[in-house]
Amino acid sequence: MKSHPTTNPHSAIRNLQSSCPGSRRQFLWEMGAGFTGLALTGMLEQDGFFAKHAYGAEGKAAAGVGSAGYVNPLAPKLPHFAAKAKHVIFLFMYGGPSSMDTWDYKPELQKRDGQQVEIEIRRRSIQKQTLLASKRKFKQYGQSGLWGSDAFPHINEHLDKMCVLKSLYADTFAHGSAMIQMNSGRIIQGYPSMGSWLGYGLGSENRNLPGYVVMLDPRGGPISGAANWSSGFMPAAYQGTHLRSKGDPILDLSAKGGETREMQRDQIDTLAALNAEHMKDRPGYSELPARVATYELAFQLQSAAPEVLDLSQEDAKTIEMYGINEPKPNNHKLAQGPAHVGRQCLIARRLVERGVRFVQIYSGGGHQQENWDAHQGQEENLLIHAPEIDKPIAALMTDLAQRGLLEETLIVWGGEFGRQPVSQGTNGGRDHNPKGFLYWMAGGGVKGGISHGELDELGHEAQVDRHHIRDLHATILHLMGLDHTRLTYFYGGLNHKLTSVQEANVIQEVIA
Amino acid sequence: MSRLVIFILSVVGMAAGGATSAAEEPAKADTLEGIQFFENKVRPILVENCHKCHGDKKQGGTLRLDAKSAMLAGGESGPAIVPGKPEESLLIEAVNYKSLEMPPDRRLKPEQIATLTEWVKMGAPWPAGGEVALQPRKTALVVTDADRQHWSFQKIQRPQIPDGTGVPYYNAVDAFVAAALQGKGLAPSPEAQKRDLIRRVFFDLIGLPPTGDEIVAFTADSAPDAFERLVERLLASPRYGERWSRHWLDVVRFAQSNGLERDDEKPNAWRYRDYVIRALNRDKPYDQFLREQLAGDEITPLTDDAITATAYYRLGVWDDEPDDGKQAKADELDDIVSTTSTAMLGLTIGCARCHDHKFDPIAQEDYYSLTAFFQNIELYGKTPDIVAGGVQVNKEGAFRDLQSGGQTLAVAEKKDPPPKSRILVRGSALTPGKEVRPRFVEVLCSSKESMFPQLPEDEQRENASDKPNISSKGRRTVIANWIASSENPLTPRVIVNRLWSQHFARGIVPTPSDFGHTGQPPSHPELLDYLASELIRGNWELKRLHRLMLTSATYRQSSRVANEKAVTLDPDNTLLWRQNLRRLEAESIRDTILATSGSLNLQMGGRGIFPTIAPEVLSGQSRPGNGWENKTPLAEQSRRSVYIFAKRTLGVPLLESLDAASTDSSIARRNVTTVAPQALILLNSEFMERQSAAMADRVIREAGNDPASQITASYRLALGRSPTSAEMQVATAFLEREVARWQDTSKENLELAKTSNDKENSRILGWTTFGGTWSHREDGGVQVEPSPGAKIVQDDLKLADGTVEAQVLLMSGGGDAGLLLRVDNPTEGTDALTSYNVNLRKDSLRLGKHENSWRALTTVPLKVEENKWHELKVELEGGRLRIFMDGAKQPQIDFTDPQPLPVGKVGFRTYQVQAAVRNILVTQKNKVTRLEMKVDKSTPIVLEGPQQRALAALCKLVMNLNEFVYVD
Repeated sequence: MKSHPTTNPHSAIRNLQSSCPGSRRQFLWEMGAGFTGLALTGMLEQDGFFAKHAYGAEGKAAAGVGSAGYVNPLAPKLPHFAAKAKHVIFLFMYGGPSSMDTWDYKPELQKRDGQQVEIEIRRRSIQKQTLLASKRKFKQYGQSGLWGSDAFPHINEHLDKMCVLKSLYADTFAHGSAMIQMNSGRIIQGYPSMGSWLGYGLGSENRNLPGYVVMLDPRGGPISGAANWSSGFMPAAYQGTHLRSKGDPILDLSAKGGETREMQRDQIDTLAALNAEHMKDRPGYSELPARVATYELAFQLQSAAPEVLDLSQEDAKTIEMYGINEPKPNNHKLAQGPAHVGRQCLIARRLVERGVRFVQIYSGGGHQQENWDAHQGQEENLLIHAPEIDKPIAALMTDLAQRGLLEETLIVWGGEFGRQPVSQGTNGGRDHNPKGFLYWMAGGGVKGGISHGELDELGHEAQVDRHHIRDLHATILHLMGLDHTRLTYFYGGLNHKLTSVQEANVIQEVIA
Repeated sequence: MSRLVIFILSVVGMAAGGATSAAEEPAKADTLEGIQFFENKVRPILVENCHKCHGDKKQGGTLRLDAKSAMLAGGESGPAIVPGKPEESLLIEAVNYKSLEMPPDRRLKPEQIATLTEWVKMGAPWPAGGEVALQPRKTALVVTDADRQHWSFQKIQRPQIPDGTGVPYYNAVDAFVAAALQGKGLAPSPEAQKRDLIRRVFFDLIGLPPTGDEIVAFTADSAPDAFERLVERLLASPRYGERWSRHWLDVVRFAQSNGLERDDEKPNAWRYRDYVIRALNRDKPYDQFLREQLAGDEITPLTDDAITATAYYRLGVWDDEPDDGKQAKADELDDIVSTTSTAMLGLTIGCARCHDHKFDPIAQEDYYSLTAFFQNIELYGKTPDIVAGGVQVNKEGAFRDLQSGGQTLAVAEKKDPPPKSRILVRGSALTPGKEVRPRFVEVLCSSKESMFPQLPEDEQRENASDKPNISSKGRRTVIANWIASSENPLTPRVIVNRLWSQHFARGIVPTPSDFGHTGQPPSHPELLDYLASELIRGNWELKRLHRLMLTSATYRQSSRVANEKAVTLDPDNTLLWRQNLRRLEAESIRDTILATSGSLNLQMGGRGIFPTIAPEVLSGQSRPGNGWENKTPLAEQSRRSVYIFAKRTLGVPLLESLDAASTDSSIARRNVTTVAPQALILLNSEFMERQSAAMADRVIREAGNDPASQITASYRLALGRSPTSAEMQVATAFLEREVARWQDTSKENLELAKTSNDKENSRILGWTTFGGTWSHREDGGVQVEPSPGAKIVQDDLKLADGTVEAQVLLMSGGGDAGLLLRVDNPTEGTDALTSYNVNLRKDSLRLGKHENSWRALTTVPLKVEENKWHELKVELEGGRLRIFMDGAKQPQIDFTDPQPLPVGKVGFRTYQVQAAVRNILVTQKNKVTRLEMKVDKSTPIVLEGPQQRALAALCKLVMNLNEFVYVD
């Protein structure tokens, strides 16, 4: 252990800063050597430090035993097998979009518009209701000839890249529990969400950005809010980070009191210097230098996060393609137009470029027609929401494909359930339907231009190649290189899985 | 680190002797026609819908439907078919969703059901030869003597205290620890420095730091019992209960809201939290503490505490909109049983809900027999109109009047006779199986007889001629007495281990809620038993156990020693060759920041506080701000963290990021993660900004303006010591640089810093503002400066029909100012809300409607004098709004909106005008409510000038030091 330096280290900071770009690390390295010897020096071998701790979350962090070693919960970890995809962009259509107005053309339903049928509207509540055909026009697209409704002219151009899963079902008719189930596999609150599982299983590739990012609708969050991106009984380090496009992108990212970046830099260096004093006679506690390192990471995050959001680096054509400059339409008071989701999709691309593992974008917020919950009118709902996502999502696929990123990025589109083929209310609304609904995926190792599974001829219930959403979860994990039966977290006497205790199967038919 | 798991294979008895009666029975039905019917119509239905769960791979409910013999033999619920008698066949019942509901996720089509019914009626023809001679798997867990040998199921024996000569020895604890160390050739570490010791014991017992003076006094106290006296003083402090309640609240997953979509408040849940604090402070014997929670309502004479304790049953997540009511009830019961077994018994009995426990000798029958004790509880959210035993059951659960006034959340037993308790096959409420009666967990009972307790109702059954009057009252007393018994091998061990694991940052059993095979074995089994027997011997008083642990030499060891041999032999410090350094828990970090800044408010008890949460965090809710009240004055926000309202879907970010416990399920040990967002919050949050300013202010008051004195004072406040010369040097240089930078910084930047720090914007308690700069007026009104659409909305009151009156003042600017009625979804932005707006401008009175846009519905030209209070009165009835200004007899506006807005809040909005509002009265159903506009008088500290700003930055840094959050 060396003695304290006798001169103020901070005069050195400025010199180094101006002399070479790598100097910050180098300075800390030297200061670390001067102050605390090996601990800090070792820590600052940036990636080396984290790689060394790559045994990660299954060890101490989970048990919470901190005596003998710090474990970085987000250290990158190897998948179970070669992954098809490295990133997921989950486009969550909160409220539950219908399938028969989007990509599941149901000629029988169209034919029988207005007829009465008996149908299960809530669990075991079978009622006489009137069939409601889609008002949308359907057409076949591309080489695959997959059907698409005219609500999404831009996305339809990509149908040859998309794999439409038409036979999913889930366990609950209510938003609250359905949202929680789609995100965490369980209808009861308190279990880790899918992004948390991926962070736990694979760690984070980018140390300067969160590994699990959530972006919300300007009209509000989804029902149950942050419970949807919670890490449940896993450490909080695995929960989703709400990234905002206005103001501070991450909570408390920037100083409030007008402190300059230079001041913050100085604060972090001074803190490291003062902490070094403390570490001197506390040997063997690696959590101490690790905590010093988190301040450095926080400082990096302050530039990394705004950099991701800085769309001025994008060319005009790209901005145009995503619909970012399009004005708010005036055809409906709730309509936002594509600008917001456009920005989010472009940010999502920038995030995955930088190694972020899981990005979830919520389309729709608040309640009823503010999201895809079309009780008060299916057509009106599509009028509001379809244009908000159509151009942006199409642009995202184009953009990722152009950059060669689509292969390694899995796009997942869908809501917490689908909607009924019968009419609700006076404005042609549709009620919730967890018994049969569609999702689509693209990129990331799924087959393009295929349709898998079928609902019954009216679009009410999954009938052919039925898949519980557990299977969707298992498939997403599989594409990310994880075996859903092996990705377990021990809590309360049980090895928990995203797919819970019931049997789940990877949907092999959709894997390229 | 490998988890030591011993697998006990559940005994799977594949019954030998496969010959079945069905095979012998002459199958009259097996005509060619019958077989064809089966092959063409029936088998496809079975294959498609049933075999996945009832086939060769899986046998849900131990039933197979791929062989006739298996169908006849049936599963847990009995034979699946009775050939020729569809009405007696469970299979037919199940597909008709009568008793069972199969397939569970999707009902068969009517024609398929008809086919199956017809097939059974035909005598269930099945082709010969194609049948594999099979029997359904019979799973029977048999508890063996070997199972009972598991260490934690053994009776607690008071062990011999090892010979403690030659080791640092304060009490028996040390002898046990030293013996284990000696076994490895290790020795304990020397006693910690006194400063480390006093900080350690303060944080351990009360969760707050000692002051500099307390440290000095203790350091100077050379009496041999100085430490013992310190421990006594802390155990007697009310702060003790506040700190330790948090640990129990984690274990019972305490929260004050239901979770999920609406996440409504559980009224009076806070009384349970206060009960726990009180119980710990009074050192209520732990066995009584458990009995009160489990069956306080059955204790006579009834006390307020005992009844409040039973809110224990009401703390869990509750879905107010369950997909399936039956299953939701089963889930709620499960939550109670799982929590009770992990919290009190340290057993994961919940794992035996769907099948026998995979690792522990706990059968599914054990689980349901235990559940049966709680079976007749009126579940939360049930809406019957019963009043049982003085308990009012309302929409959201049971409430009970307290003798001291007020009501509490409490448990209620149904008045009806208890329903039969049944095993639920695979945990599904739709598939009830074998009947069970309330009994104890077999492996914990020495004999079959002791498994089956006498229930109070048994006696009634024998005596009563009138069976319907039998009640389940007293069942919970039976289970409570069994759990809280000195004969129970688990309960005492589990609680002493919980105490130990907090004091030593690691339990003797490192998995405090799992004493089964999936947990880890004790590092010091004899010590654990010694402590458990001490607990029982000492009337279950916990403070006595704290005392025993804390005054040991083991506890007092230094955490700072480097012992290479020990590191090599025992890297995890399992044997306690030194004390463990540990990070403070989230609540302690926040409380310590408040104590350091001088803001800590020690008021105890009550519903709780709502610290300000940044709007960007609230924006993640589907109704931003919903359920998070904006009316806790700053001074009250500085109360201890245990009093923060525990809301399931919204947490205080500072605490969440520092690993506060999830409120959804039982937490035995906090995670300790170290990640960058913690640093961001501790450097940049508004809370830290405020506390740094308050601390700087305190430093200036105590130390004046000399930088060296200020640095010394900062260190003393935050860490209870003076800085070293090296630290002084670094801090001095930092202050100099910081002052210079603040001086260099452009005026503009300083201005920005000042406004953001001074918050000219007043907080109006109970109201939320969206844009604009608001201030409170001496005349009781609230004033806003001109802005493009500033809004203030009252948090609580919802209005559909009724009358709203208010006084409005236009000052200058020429824009409009008006009342908002039926407000929904307000956010910052000119027209970002849904609401009616009745407004005044210089030349008119207008009614308009915001729907994220503005539409004037009707305008009446009239002159509105500026700088004069005008009275506005609006009567709402459905879509009709009648508006009276300045006491007019006839409405100036009488307008009916064909598309009326639904119920909403009340507020005030201005557009490009300086204006004010006051005296808002709302009359609904003859009830007048005055919407008070009180200002938060607790004013944050305002810093001025580079020196103060620099000092605040230093204060912030000191509160970010590792030494601040880690305890030696």
